[in-house]
Formats: sequence, structure tokens, C-alpha cells
Amino acid sequence: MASEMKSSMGQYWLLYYQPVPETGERIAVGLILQDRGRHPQVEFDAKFSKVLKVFPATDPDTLAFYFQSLAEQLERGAPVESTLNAFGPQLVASKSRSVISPISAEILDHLVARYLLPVKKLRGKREKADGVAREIESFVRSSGSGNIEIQTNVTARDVLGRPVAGAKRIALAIRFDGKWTLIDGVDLNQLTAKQATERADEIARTYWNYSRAAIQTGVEVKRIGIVLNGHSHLEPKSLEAHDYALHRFQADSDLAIDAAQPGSRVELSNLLEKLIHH
Amino acid sequence: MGEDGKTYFIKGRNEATAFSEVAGCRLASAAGLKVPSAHIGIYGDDRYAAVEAVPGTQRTIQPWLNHPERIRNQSHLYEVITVDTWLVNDDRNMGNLVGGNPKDGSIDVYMIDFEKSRSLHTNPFMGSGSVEPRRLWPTAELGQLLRSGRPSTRPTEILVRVRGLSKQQIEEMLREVAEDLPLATWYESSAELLHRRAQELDRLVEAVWQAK
Repeated sequence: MASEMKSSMGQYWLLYYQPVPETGERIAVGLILQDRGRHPQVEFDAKFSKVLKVFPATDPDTLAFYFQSLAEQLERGAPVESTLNAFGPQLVASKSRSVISPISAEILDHLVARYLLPVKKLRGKREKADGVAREIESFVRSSGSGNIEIQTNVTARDVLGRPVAGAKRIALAIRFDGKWTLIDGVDLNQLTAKQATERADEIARTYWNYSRAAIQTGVEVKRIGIVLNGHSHLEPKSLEAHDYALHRFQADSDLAIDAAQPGSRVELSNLLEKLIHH
Repeated sequence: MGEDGKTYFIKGRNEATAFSEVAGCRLASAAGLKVPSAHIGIYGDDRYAAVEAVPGTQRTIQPWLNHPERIRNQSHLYEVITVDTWLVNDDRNMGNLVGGNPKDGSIDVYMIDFEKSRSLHTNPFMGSGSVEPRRLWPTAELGQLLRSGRPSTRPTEILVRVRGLSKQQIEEMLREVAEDLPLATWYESSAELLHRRAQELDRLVEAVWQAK
């Protein structure tokens, strides 16, 4: 009985950042999750909001670099605990803790919320993100794609079979013949200009990471970025956010759609049609 | 914490170590390496080497060495071998490299821990003579990493800088430290040795570079 229970458990480690190790001050900044039969997965808040609240002098790009390096080493099959030791003393790990396996998206969200994100931010972020995702899904379906099976809240593990450092969840994804089309975007009716640019940055970064990882894994991935309601706000900040989001999607997507432009639905519809009948 | 409000790491209470650490840091800095400021610190009746904390210290160094393009002064990784050869310091490993000034995912690398430099300890001529060239290449993981990416020719600019230091300049730097540490009676011998080694540093470094 005991062994049966053990075999259905995964493990996770909490990673703490110590800006000045000698002082002993530290803050939880990341998670490593080891599911049965899978490579370890590295999770962190790409903006390091909680860390920056407590240690504002921290360079978030430096922390991101540590996590990317860590993910790279673990993906190459390096043992978790000895790899973690090499990141000390700036990053230190807790002892391994047990978690129910398989590690579901809900468990992951719970752990991230509990350890890595400021509580209020997570709640607000999730509500806004859900609303934006729903609006984007509605736009896609109204583009004549009503019969397409659309998956929501998709992870790199769903698409590529493994986690990818720096790749966040995607609002929507469509799969045909083993090829994936990822769709995400911003909605200026639901997000402030600042939130929209942040979300655009996060999506563009995620898409950029997908493009790299897709080459390694051989999975064909197309990426679509959508800007909704960009012209319904004439304030300079919103207009700037609209243009910036579009620019980011043009840089890191296969198709950037400005929903306010005539013909944008047709453009999306044509692309999806091509995917289905290719 | 010093009276000046800065954080210092101290070592070598009333010992030769205090002299070699402070003098080594200052000589390495004069050669052009990034090195934290080092002073003789007084605590009660005791004197120590007091080395300033590197701004934004990053003690996790291995990931940076795997991505040297993120190290703004990456040339120092090899230039320090020239300085260690000059000072006869056979204690260079990943533990005495420290990152600092993290910004936009890049760092500067600072060299620390020069206290084992044999040219700066008592009987510098005798202590330095027996060190084989291969022992002056960094050790362990750092040594392996640097060996695998070793350029075919040794860095030249730092050789020019070290050779350009006159005997008088070297002696002056050592005297300043020795004045705060009366026990360091050998500083003139150290200056003489360092001047001689500077003049033949090309040959000495080449021997280290080629040593297996």
C-alpha cells in the first residue's frame, strides 16, 4: 500500500533567491516540479513581481537568466539536486516535497499562487486573462471558424510535450494533423494600456520561445497575435499600447491581426481555412 | 560594516595574509582587472584586510561562465591568468570569481582572493621559485572551462600594462599597504621580485599557456 502511494507522487522544490547570501534573507522565486516519467519543469513569474516588491534593486533579467540556464541544464537530463547546487548561494532550494502526480494545471496554479505571486495580483490577473481569452475565442469563432475544435489555456507541455522556459500559457490553440496554431492577444476594452503592453510582451516572449523550442522538437507551430478594440479608445496611451502590441506581434508571430482593420476577420478565416484543408 | 557605511569582508587578522590580500588586489587593479577596493581595516587593536563588497554581488557564477557573452568584461577571465602568473597566485577557481553590477541580464566579473600570492608573502623569492607553470592555470571547473575555450594566443594588452609598471610604482603601492601593517617587512623584496617578473612576463605566461 505504501509503495502504491509513493508511486503516485511527484516532487517539487521551492527555489529561494538570496540577494545577499550572508544576511540570510531570502524569498521564494521559483519552483521545480518533477512529475513521474517526465523532465523536471521550471516555473517562475517572468516579471518577478513579488521579488521586486521586497528587493527592488534586483535585476529581473538576471533572475530570468538563472532560470533559463537551470531549465536548459535540466532539459539536458542533469540530476535536479546537483544542478541546483551549482546555482547556490544566490539561489537555494528547499528539500524536495511531495505532490500528487500527475501534476495538473490546477495544482501548478495553486503552487504558483501560494509561493510565487502576490495574492491580489494573481486573482486580478487571472480574471482579466480569462476575460481576454474569452473575447479572443469569440473573435476567432466569429471569423467563420465555429466548427473548429479550440483548446484553451494551453501549455508548452500540451503542444511540445515538454515545458519550455519563458513560455507561458496560451489563450487558444488549434491542432490539425499534428500541427499547432497558437492564438493569443490583448483586448483594450478589458486591459489598461499598461496591462495590454505587459500582456503583449509576455505573449511575444512566449511565442519567441515556442519558435526556438519548435525547431528543436520538430513540431510545426504557427503563432497568431490579435489586438482587439484598439481603435475604440482615442487616448494617446491606449493608441500607443495598440500600436506597440501590434508591433510586438508582428515581430514574434506568423500573423498579427488588428481586429479594428477591415478585412481582419477574413484574413484570420483564410488562414484557418488553409490549415484545415491543407 | 565600515565607519564609511560600506560593507567589507575581512580576513587575515594581524597576519601576512592581510598584506598579500590588500597588495594583491591593488596590483591586480593597477593591471586593469576589475577588483573590489581593498584596504587595511582596524578593529580594536587588530588589523585586517578589508575588501569592499562588490555592488550587486552575484555569487552564483557557473551559469555565467557557460554564457560568457553575458559577461561584459569577459576578457578578464583570461587576463587574470596573466596577473596570477605575475603574482605567483596558484589559487584561482570558480569560488574566487564574483559577479557584480547585474543589469539587463549581464554582469561584470570581479576577481577576489589574492592572499595566496607567493610573491607577496614572507621570503617571496624562495616561495615563488618552486611553483610550476601548470599550477598557475585556474583549477577545477573554472580551469576546464577556460581550457576548452582558450584562445590560441595569450592576451597581450594586459602584458603591456603590467610591463609598463615601474619598479618605483610597484614599490610605492606595496609601501602604502606595509605602512599600515608593520609586520610586512618583506615588501621591498616583493617589489623587486614583481618588477623582475613583469619584465619577463611574456615568457612566464607563455609557459603557463602551453602547460598541460
